[in-house]
Amino acid sequence: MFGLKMLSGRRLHAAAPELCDRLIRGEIGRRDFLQTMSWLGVSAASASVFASAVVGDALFPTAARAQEAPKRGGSLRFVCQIQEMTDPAAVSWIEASVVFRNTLEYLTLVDADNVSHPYLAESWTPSDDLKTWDFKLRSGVKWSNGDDFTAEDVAYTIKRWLAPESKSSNKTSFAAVTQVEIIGPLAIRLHLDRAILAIPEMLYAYNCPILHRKFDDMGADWPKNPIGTGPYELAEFAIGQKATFRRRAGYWGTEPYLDEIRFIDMGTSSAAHLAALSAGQVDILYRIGVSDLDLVKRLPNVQLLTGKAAQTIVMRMQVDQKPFDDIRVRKAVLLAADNQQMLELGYRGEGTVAADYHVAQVQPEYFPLPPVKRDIAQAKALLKEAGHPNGVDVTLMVGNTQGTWEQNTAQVLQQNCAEAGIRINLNVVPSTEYWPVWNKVPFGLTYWAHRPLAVQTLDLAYRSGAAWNETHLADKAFDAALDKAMAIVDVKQRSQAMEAVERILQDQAIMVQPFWSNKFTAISSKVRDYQQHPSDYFNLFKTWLA
Amino acid sequence: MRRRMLPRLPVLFGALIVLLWVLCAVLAPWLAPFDPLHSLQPLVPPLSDAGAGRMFWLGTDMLGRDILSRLIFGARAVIVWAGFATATAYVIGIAGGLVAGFYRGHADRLLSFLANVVLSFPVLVLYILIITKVGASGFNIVLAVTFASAPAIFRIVRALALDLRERDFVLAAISQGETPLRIMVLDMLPNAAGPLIVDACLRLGYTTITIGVLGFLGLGLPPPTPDWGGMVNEGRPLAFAFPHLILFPCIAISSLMLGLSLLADGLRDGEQRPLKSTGTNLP
Repeated sequence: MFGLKMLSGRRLHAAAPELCDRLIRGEIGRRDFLQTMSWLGVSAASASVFASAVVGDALFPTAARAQEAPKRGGSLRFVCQIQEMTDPAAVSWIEASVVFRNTLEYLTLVDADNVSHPYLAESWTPSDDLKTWDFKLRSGVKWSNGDDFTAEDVAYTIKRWLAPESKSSNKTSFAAVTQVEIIGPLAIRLHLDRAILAIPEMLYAYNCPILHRKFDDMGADWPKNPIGTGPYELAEFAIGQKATFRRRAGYWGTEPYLDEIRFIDMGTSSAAHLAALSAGQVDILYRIGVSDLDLVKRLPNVQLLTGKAAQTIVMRMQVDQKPFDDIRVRKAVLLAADNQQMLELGYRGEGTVAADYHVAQVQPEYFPLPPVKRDIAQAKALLKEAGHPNGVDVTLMVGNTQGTWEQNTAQVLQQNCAEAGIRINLNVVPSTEYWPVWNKVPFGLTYWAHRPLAVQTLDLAYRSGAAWNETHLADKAFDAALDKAMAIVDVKQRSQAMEAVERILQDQAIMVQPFWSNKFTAISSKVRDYQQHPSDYFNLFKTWLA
Repeated sequence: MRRRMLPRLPVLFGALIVLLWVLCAVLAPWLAPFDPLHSLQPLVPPLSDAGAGRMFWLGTDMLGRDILSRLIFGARAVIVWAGFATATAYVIGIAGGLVAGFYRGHADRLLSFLANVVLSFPVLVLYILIITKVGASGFNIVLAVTFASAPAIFRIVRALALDLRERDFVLAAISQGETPLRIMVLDMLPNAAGPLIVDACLRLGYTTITIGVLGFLGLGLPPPTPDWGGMVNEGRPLAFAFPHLILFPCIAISSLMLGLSLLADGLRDGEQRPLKSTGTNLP
């Protein structure tokens, strides 16, 4: 139909025609169409051709691409932390995955636009109820030790996540997987106990690389025995210092351009990183902060990259702690808050203003709700009603886990709230003191990283009894609305269903979520075709040095 | 004697700086051109027009607050808390030192041991430990400074007291049946006052620095209190592009420290006074 092809060559998924209709009717955008089609196992190329025919615009702007012919060779130096790592499935730092992503590969690859592409899996086919997922694996892939890559490797890896003794956070995120079945030498089937649409996207989470089936037998220590299917092999690994990768022969895919990638740990001072970059000693920085922007813009031979992502801070209140157990107090805080001012002063205006419900414009299921309008008089009235005619004193804990801009933002909220008689006492503690209590303090400022789907965040953070539910919200209506949204394939319908979800979050007034913060990095002007990734899942296979 | 007591130029200069900051602290609401906590215009360079015929003399910080106003109000914080913290450390150090010097023996051994234990910690680690465990507030700065300074003061007082304890006027007072408390406070303490005043002046300077360091480490007075060290800390990430964020708070900290040091120097020169006895007269 319409020239759309499943990656597997089988019949089109039942939900695909409806998506096409909605794209034609203009009810969904091109990006959402492509993302959902990719989850359903439809080839991105055919979906893109279809979308171009219908809407006419191109998804990937070519302006950002270099016009020169790529050059082969060279050694690229990448500054990031080199942390201790033994089991890639158990790492909890994205930096670690940036290092092993050159050697270990995933079933799928999610690009910077959130579209899932085939990787070690050539195609996938979900059942119509989205509870059974078949993956056809790529043939001709060899491990760096000469072994053939087979379904056994994949089944071994996924079963390892789900094992009772597993230390991987995948144990929770793939809890719906009840069985991993090998249905052919290069085919596996996942059985789920509930419908999940985003399985292909979830398989590209940083700690989901496919490991060799003998990983445990070989000592379960990857840097000691760095077998992988990727184009590079680990040559040197020193915690806190460096990790060096060299291109190997016999890679199944397109050969990357760089001969060597050297990851260098330069400590945590961004000033030192920038000095090294500007002196030409390194080529790419993992990340820079908002406070580095002014300096970077003045440095010669340095390119600044800026990207939008669903990363944010929430100044959240616990609904079972005084005085926040009274919703009128929480509402007063939201009414007094000036999100736009917090973005401008706290984060130098480098982001997108948010509206206190933790779903971002860049996430596919976003439904635009109007923001809470600033109203000091109403905030004061609510406080008076709640029994605080002379205002209220509260303490906000800030850990500056991402930099002093957290404390700056909190100071703006402090000024905003003072106008309504809410006296915020800031308790600024070192980040090492904040993380042990982040979900325990009644009023705290917490950073939330980007997740491709808003429902992933909401499921973790606001569902009754969820592991990371730091607001202690327990709202049956919210849980039900979220369940409903999570099971809908259709983007338009899902976004409609999200309206209820978002509205409950905003009405419950559990957090001031002022803005979505942009991501920044700085790279040498010699680096070509390097793309930021909203999840920091950087891939250097197309990058080259001029 | 009179000639030596005459304040010389550096002492005058020191006194002037200290006086200036004290005046700033006292008259802050009248001197400061803007509300130190209010956001106006972010990251304005020094000597910019603020509109309505006013100036941002020293520019504004990342939240758009006037730096000059924050420095003036910051003088309040630093002088009040440095004074209070130093005074508390002195009360404890003096009490311990007098007891140890007067009673000697077990009391001295115990107190000296405790002082040595505390002194053997690296001071900064000690500060960080205290503040992170009990949280940042003015009171905790006092606690941290007291904990770290009192043993040093104790040592000075103890040494002075051990010497004074053998002086005739103290022995006379003991034989006269004076209470130990009266002897310690009225006979011994006034005779130890000279070196202590000099030390206090210097220590006040160190405490200023300490509060700055704590603020810089993010352990000082909680924001948005204008705290000089805190201002340096907040401005540090942007310092390459906007040096005025840290330049002026640093000048403020150094100038107060310099003023107190010069003052202490002058006092030391004039301090060589003879022993005096106030409480008891020799028979």
